[in-house]
Amino acid sequence: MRTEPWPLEPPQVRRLLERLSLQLGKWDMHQAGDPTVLPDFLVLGAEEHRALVRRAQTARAAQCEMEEAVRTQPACLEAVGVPAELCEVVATAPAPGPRLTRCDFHWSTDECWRISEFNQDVPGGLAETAELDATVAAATGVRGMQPAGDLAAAITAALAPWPRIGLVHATAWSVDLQQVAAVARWLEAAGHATVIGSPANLQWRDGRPHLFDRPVDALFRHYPAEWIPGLPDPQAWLRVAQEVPCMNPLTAVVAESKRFHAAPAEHALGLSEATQATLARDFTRSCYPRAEGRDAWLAAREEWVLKRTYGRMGEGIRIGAALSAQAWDEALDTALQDPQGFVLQEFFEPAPLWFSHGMGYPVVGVFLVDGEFAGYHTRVSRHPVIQHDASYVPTMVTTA
Amino acid sequence: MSRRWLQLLERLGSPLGTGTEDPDAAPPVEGQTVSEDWRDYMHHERLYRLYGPHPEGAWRPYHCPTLFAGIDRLKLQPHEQRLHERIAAERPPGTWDWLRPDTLTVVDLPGGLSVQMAATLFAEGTCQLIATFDHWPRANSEPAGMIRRLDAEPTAAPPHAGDPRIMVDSREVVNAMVTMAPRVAARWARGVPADAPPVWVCDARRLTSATPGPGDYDNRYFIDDSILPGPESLRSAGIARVVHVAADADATPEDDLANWLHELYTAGFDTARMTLGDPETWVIPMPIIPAPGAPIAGRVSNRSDRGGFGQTISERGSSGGVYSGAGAGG
Repeated sequence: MRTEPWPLEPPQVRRLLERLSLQLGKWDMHQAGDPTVLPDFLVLGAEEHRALVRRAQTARAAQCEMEEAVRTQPACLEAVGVPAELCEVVATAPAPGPRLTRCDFHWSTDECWRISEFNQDVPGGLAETAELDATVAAATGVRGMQPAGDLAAAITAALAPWPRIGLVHATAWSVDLQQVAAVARWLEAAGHATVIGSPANLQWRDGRPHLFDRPVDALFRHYPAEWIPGLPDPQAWLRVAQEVPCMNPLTAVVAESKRFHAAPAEHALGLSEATQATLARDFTRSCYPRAEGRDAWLAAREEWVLKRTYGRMGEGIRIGAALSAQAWDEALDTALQDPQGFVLQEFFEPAPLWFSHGMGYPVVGVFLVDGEFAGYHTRVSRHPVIQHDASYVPTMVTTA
Repeated sequence: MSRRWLQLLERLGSPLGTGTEDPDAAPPVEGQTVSEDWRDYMHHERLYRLYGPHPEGAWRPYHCPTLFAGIDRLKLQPHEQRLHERIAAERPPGTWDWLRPDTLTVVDLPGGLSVQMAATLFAEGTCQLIATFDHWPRANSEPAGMIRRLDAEPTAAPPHAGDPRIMVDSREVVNAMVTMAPRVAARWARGVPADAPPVWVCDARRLTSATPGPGDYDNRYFIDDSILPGPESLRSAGIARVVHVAADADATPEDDLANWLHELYTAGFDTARMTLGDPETWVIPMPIIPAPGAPIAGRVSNRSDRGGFGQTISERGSSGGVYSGAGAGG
């Protein structure tokens, strides 16, 4: 892996960024005045690419087995933090529908790739992966490397059986509109009829789901499953889980929980040996916060990270190594007041790389659609935790 | 490489400088002859640049492209709009004298009226515009029969100008943009300095208090810290004063701007208000002490009933009084 600056002069970079914004819908180009698109490539070697894809696929297969084991045990569902309103429907929903996931890899200081998160529910970066990487590659004229995968084709293929697709997103955020608008564009190009709305626009009429006045055959949900109980009519979505193909299905809420990875150590899940081996090798050790473990976690502060069960974009992450003993003590106190809202994960130290603007911590997301590789989405943060102000950087794979 | 990719690259990915950009989309340069026909300004990229800051200036990162992209995607057909009586009226002597290099202006009027006022400021004073329309008028093409009259005078009060099922009908904003475009283009042609004082253009209807029903298109939006600079950025750019342009003296800005204005005031910036109905304030804006808005932390949850859906959020954002946008995607 290496980084490489775009071979362009500053005025050309500016024109290219405007093109991405106005013609490809990358509207979130800045945060607080700072650019959130880096004029660099993150370049993976061909063998490195194959290894990352293999690991993501293996990890995903293990997660599928684990998800089925967890969702059929009510006590386990509750323990991993699935909202109570969703537990019954998650446990009884039919076979999962089309699935879009993103496995996030960090490069660590011990020079290996670590999986920090497996985004199972609402992965972002779709337009960047499907269109921006290729556009930047072509516009800069780079040779010897190219983007890998075709996310747009993979999503449209997965949704091909259903002619009318409803796409829902959290409407208060244009960054989410830009994602679903891109997916709608790909689907329309493939011959689908699409309608975009908020999850609150979903209604059932004559036994069929509708968005606004339009019946839909399947849904594309870019809205976190754990927020659904807060909608004006959550029942409409619980019915979707039973009757309507949805990318992603509501059952994704199980593996999206950060407590999910602690479940094998806490419950008898009957997992296969292969899955147990994959989980042990590829995922960091996790455990539920408990009062009786408090002293040990206090003493081993630098070995642990505290995360919210359904935290998004780095929200609420507390790294013990980055906190004073007192601040870590307070963070543990907060977690123990609502233990089901948190999980402890073993800490690993991410390694920074050099980019045009200086050092940054990259996280390389591997998109899988129904388990098949579909593309990369790399973000770079100035801090070890990837947050909402992280920058997008196009990902290339060497062709030589 | 797949066929779809090749098509995409053919459309968008040609090397820079090979002619894929629209040369007419750039703002006019000093001395350039410009069209006086509003129909010549309907292209979204042209509008984006006309209603944006100087390309070499400090405010470019804050100019929001979302609505402009929607014009293209939704195939909007803008119409000419009548000017508001206050915009059409003669100005009192000394109007805009307060528009100094150390002053940031926030025009916060309803919909098209805000654009008319900001464009007037731009055309008659020396400043640069920054758009904040971070949403789409409607994410789906209009069903037949739903398009209403678009050539009406802009509404002076929220919430709806046209289709009542759309929470914020910003087609009116687009109509105002094309209507005022010849004046804006003519001002660009007279030369706009890169350090001209900035004018943020907002739609005061962006957060209506109505709770949308399941058949309503909810396109309410916040102006967050990707669009509003913080005190340090403003200070380093030489800004010491903020003028809020509102409909009347008692206007209460929505929570996003209210928190931002309050934050700036407490950070030592002078704050004042110009009101549409009081021409004296067009000459000398009235000093104000901005009250904070409701604390909402957009970064940590699904915002509020007043900007999307879900429960009201009780935490304050991590970025001071200004919302910080993350989206729901991970």
